[in-house]
Amino acid sequence: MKKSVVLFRQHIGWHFTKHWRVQGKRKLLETGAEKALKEKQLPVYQAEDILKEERQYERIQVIGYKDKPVPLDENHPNWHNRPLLSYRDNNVLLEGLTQAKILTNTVQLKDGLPERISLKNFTDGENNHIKSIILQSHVFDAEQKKLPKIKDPERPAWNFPRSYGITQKRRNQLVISGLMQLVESLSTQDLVKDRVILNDLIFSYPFLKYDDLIQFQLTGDAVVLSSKPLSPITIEPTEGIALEDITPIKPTITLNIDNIYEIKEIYPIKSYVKKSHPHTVFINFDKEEVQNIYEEEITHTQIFGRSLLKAFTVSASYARQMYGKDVKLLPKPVTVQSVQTDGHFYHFGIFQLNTLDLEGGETKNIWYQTPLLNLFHNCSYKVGKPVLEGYNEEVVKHLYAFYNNN
Amino acid sequence: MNCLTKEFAKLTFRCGQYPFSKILGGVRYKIRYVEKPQIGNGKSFRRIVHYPTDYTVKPLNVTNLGGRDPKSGRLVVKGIGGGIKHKYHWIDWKRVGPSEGPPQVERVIKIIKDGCRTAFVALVAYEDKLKYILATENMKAGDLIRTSCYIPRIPVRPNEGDAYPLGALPVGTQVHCVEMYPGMGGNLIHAAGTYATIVRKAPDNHVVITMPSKREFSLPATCMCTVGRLSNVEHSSTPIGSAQKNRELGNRPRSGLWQRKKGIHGRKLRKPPPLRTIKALEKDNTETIVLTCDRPFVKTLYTQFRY
Repeated sequence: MKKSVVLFRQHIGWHFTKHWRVQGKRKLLETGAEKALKEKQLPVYQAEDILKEERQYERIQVIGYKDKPVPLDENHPNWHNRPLLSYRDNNVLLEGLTQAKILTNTVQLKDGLPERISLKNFTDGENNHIKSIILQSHVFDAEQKKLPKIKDPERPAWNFPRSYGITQKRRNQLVISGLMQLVESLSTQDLVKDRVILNDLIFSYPFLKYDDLIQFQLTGDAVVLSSKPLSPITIEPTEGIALEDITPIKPTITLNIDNIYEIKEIYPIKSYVKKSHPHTVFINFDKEEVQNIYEEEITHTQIFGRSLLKAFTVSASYARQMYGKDVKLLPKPVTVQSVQTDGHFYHFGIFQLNTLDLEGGETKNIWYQTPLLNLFHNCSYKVGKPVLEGYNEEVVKHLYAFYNNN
Repeated sequence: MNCLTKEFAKLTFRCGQYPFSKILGGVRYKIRYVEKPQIGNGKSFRRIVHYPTDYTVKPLNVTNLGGRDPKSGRLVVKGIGGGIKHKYHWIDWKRVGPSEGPPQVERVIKIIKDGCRTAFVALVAYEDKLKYILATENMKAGDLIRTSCYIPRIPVRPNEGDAYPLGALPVGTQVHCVEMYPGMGGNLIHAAGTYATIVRKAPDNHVVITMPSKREFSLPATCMCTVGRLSNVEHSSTPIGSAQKNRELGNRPRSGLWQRKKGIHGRKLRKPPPLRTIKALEKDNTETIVLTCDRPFVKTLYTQFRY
């Protein structure tokens, strides 16, 4: 039997289907009917609106095991029409130290720390003790937690095996508590009696600057409090020194803009507590948490700016508690020291708060700082052995000098 | 057996409106016609970017498509797939400046290498805003760039990275990121190391530019453009290096066959096409309706038994 007759037979249905795909799409022709009807002021409805069945839906309150989260819009209880510019623990400023100085009306009189901070030399025994503290916190601690992913920019396709070990937060806590304990044991007993170290204190300082409502809401990861306030560093006049200029950029750039917020004024220690005066604030820097909004690497100046803003927030919230809400020029300057660290680098700064008038007042606040100091070059296991290479004595000397500063 | 199957096929269960007879027919050989999109209409089948409502410099998450149409899920473009997932830097294509008075000044903060495009991206700050633009050849952090929409009588003397309307620039200037229609946002010339040159003024307030392809376009003089040549000039002369590197870039293996007629191995040397004058097209707002037809057009024996 010849199949070709059957196979070549045309299937009219398929032809129609194929043709329908093209011709089934039609553009509506403008007949002018709508225009004519509108001229006669007759209402025009869409056919779908008439044909659509109107159904009334009833709202039912479903009781769940927990309340639904409140939507973050105008109906939120904390919604304000005026936006708040806030700075929190995981923010950095775009221009870093320069921007922080403009925001807080601060100048730097000189590079480095003031002469009052005198560094003490340690004996070999003390240095060995410090080395063991570093090794204990960086290598010997028993914590085994999943660490952040490692990426090599040269080989982006390569997936490293996930490593487990000591998390940065724990490492910092251990090294700071260890080193502070050593510093306390080297200091005189009368001095140590006057100091206390508290962890995770919250500070918040809201203020107005050029019609912007700004709030710094920051944590002191470890704060040394003392029974006497730190004496002012200098009485040098700051009237003639001009602030730096970052035009065309406004100093409020990269602060979080939020309409849902609470204004809080917090200095966590009440004034009737004996050891309520801030002395030194320790700041943890974790590069996984502290990030630029554009997700690029954080620069040194941004780290410096973070130190300055934390020290400012601590001293300003303290000054408000001490001298009242409306104080501008402080009767006595407030001095706070700051130490920022990621466990490896250390940044030391001293902030002297002279005034809370931040809108271009003549008197300015003063900031002293060191460059970034590395505590060591490498501290890890090498061929199965724990090693500490390139230990830098300067860091603990600074810590000792800060603790003993009165 | 055949008869029995046909008899079964005739049987229908009715439950409300829905007849279940269709299920008994051969599902395996049923064809569902799926409409695939036309390629080459400015739509990318490499990735979708999840844009938020407001502009942000936070790198955005993407979904890689591997050459598939996100609506139908069918393969549309061959040769795309895999590779390293990059976050997308949302570029602010509209450089809007003051229409009179001094230009707006912005500062370059950082030049960033973006995985989703060939040219580098510059992070720019002004007042309390941040944005990304395409970086020019010699742009570096700290540079000040200007933007203005004003067209003076005498052409301005521009610097690299400045944005002006085409009509404000002198003849011979190299430009990129050119708007096709005023206010649209720069959409011509984005690739690394490319530039267009302003050739002459044309009647009806138009300016003629030569594109990197040597074609001449006549554009309205109010179209904004950025001055200079785009960054990463070495990109076109840098070999990919290895097949694996090409896979990392998200391209699938090629056949390696010499395809004379396709035009991918070089174009024929012909006279360039004539000057193309770009004019705003009238928008066709008429609605297209798609008519559907559920039943088959012809009643054949086969369909008789099935439906």
